[in-house]
Amino acid sequence: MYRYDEFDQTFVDQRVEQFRSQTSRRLSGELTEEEFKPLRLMNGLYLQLHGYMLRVAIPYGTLSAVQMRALADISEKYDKGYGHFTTRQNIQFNWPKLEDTPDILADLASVEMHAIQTSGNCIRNVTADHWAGVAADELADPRPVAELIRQWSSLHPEFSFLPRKFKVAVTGAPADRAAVKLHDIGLRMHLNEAGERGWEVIVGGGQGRTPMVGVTVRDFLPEEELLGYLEAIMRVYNLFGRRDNKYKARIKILIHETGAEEFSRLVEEEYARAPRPSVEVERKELDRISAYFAPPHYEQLSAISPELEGHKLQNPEFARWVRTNVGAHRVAGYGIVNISLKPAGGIPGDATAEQMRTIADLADRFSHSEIRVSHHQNLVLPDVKLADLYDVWTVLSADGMGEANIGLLGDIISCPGLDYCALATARSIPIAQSISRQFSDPARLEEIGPLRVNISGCINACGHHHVGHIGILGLEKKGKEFYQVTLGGHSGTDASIGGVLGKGFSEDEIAGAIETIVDTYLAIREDGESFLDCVRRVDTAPFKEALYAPA
Amino acid sequence: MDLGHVLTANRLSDGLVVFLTPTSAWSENIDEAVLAVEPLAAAALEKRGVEFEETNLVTGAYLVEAEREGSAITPTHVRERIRACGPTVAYLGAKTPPCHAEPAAVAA
Repeated sequence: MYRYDEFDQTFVDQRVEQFRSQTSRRLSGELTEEEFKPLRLMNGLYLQLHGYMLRVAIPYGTLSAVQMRALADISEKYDKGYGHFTTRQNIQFNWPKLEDTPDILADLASVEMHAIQTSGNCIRNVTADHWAGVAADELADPRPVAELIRQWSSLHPEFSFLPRKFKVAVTGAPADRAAVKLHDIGLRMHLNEAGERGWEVIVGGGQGRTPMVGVTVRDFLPEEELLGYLEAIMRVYNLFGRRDNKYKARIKILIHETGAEEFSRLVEEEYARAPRPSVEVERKELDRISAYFAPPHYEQLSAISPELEGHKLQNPEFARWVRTNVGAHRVAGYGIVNISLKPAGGIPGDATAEQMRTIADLADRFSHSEIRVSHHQNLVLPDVKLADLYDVWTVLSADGMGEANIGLLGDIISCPGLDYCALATARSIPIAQSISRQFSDPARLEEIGPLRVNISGCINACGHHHVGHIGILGLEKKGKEFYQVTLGGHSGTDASIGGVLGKGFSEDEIAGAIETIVDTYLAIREDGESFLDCVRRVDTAPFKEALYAPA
Repeated sequence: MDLGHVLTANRLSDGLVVFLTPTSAWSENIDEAVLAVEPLAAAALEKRGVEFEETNLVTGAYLVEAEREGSAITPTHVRERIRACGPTVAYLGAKTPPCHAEPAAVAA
């Protein structure tokens, strides 16, 4: 993975000291809250419902075991002993003190981490396919490009005061696991006939109060032209993006209002006009960065592991976990372990310090010391030998992380909601808990098949409800929470936005409503038809009838 | 039962939610807050919030509508109830005894 060079380290260290001085000036009263707020936000420190919240960037969701242990230490030393992995592949600490934050940032800097650009109207943490570099279906690892964009966009003087925040996602695989059509810019790698890499550039996707699927403005941009072209997009957005209304300031609104064709024309015009460094410079830089992502040493193994097969025969629970939680690795004899942070009745994405250390130890022992965070709020050990899967599963199960539900109904995405968030209108975690309790039988989950339930506690949609196969949006009316249900959303290659079913449900009704939807699906599905395919075939009518028709 | 307003803020140093008490201290326990029943008293409370912000003890002071029943003070809005009591879900290091003995009470 990428390692800081001297320049990176010096910069981050200096930034910590700068914030230390700003914090002490705030505490002494030299700075007012109004003056200090933008400074703390630029360092990822929010003031939430119960106190400060620190959002730490995990670039494209890749972490080392050393970094994971540092996060565990920070959670114990300065917080309450746990952290929350987010849908942006970051981690949030819910209870840091302002007076401790400079020390937290110093501890982060000591393991090449920071919280810069995790807030504000700038280019945020670049996210990526959490199987990057190891997925069987991947063309190439997209992370060198993600790192190139990270370096280019970090403290970019021209793009530090955009109309609104800006999110970029990349994938090097045809199966989209990074939701590239739902970001301000999504990049998907393609190969041309000569085998050269290029990028499909998708712009203007996003969720929030105006969900939109992005539009492709270039089918195949040669890799060396990437930064120049992104710069042209950013310039057009920076110039024409609305600043009069924060709810209409994202690039998706600009594209919607100007039209995709006209927007594309403006970008091409800017791209043709703007002077930029030669493509050779970018190629060289990309080559330099790519060296950091050279694949680890893999052993030559058979695609079938007798040890694995033996354990599967003896232990059906383990066999199920292998079916649901282990992804296809590009190297024979290896698997991608997806660790569910969604135990029945648990808080999606939360991990205790002890669990973080367990995972760090597993990464050291079995997965080249590397860990990934997925935007589904789970963790990944990317490089596990099939023969080691049983040992990994045994350790995970002993620490409450052996749940066999990846991609199934129990694997619920949920924002922190009104239990933690100052913007939320309703709680979302208790809803996730009641549903995951209701659907805790792993055999039943497998029978139901792939089904994503996503929950947001307000229209800002951090819980990705618009792209849940079943989406749940928490709202409030006259001091009372209620929950609106959408069907048919999807964040994959054929992304779609879910449609609202009808009248909302109370907290007590929601798990029952999901049960009714699932039962309806099971009754009408065709052979091998997934929930999403079924909804796309029959539309919402049968579900509406089951939910709302008078008994 | 009294209906009125309490003054809340976040303590600057650690960010925790606090309430102004009758002795001009800031308490993490809403039951210890001063409840202003009269509009004039509420306005005076709000003014005190501004003064406290100027001395950098707290930040973001504002009035919250709340009811007093016996010795217990409960905000009328769900958001403020959760803010006063902490998350309604189990988490490490939660206040003991938990404020939300029955999570359903919050949804009511």
